[in-house]
Amino acid sequence: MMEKDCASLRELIWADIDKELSPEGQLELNMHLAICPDCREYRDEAQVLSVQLESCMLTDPPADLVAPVWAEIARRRNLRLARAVAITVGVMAFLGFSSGIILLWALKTLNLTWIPNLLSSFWNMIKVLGDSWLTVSEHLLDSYWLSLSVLTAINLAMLLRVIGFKSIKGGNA
Amino acid sequence: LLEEEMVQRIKSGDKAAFSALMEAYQRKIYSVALGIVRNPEDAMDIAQETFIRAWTKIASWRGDASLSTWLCRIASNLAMDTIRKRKRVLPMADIELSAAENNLEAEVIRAEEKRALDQAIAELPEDYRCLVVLRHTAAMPYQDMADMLGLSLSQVKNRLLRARQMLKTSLSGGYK
Repeated sequence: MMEKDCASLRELIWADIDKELSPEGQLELNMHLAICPDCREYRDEAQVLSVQLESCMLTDPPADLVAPVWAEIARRRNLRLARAVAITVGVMAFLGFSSGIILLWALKTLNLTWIPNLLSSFWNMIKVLGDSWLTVSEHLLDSYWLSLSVLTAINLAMLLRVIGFKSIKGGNA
Repeated sequence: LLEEEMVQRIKSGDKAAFSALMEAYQRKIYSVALGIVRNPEDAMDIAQETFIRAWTKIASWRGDASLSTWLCRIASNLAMDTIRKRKRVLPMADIELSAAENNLEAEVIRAEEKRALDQAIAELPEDYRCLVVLRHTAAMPYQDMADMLGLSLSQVKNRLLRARQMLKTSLSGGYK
């Protein structure tokens, strides 16, 4: 029974030396050490070993350990910068080159004549509408033309007022 | 507070503060690296790489662990990576011992003790050795070691106990 207790308390002895022992563990350890000479001897040896380890494991570094660090930091920073510039230039060149290729392919392969045709049709439609309006207006009586213009003006004014009112209301909200 | 002030100055790009930090911690970081990899050249490379990473990643230091623990964690991770790549530990004979200058006899005894200790540490299994080095060189808390190595707290205590028992056994056949 005592042997088992001693074996389990070795961990507490080392935790005490390492300053990691809880108050409850400390109490348990102290009580055991008071009655167990073997564990007291083990603790003394452990303390000696701990001191030896701490004193022997700290080794003076070479004198030139720190000096090259700044140079290496600068070298890596420059390398990262150069890499970023190279990647940016590469991506831009790739995008420019591929855009050029696609444009050339589109011009050569696709039938793009519908674009000027569409613009021409649109312009013709405007011209037809304008001519029609002129023709109609020429045949209208002056009085009818006048009343039509007045009605149009009234409608426009109402429309503008509604739009203006909404925008003011929305602005205040 | 002093540590936080130092970190704040380093975060703002103060090179003098970082140089002071390197001077203050180089012995501990080098010792941690040397204790794990057992090779002075590798240890020097690891210590330098530790400081380079510390400079570039200082913004990630939140103050949860002490600066010393944080640096030792970087160094020990690098050292473990080096060991995994190398897959072998150099024998003790490759590590130079500091020459005695004043008290030659005492230094010789101390050098013998150190040699025996180093030999015993080198013979430990890799994970045990790492724990012993982190504890006795960097004074790293159990919980930090557990977090760093992916172990439970009880595993850390148990392995440290076994490692120390092995050291005691090994040394009892040596100079002790």
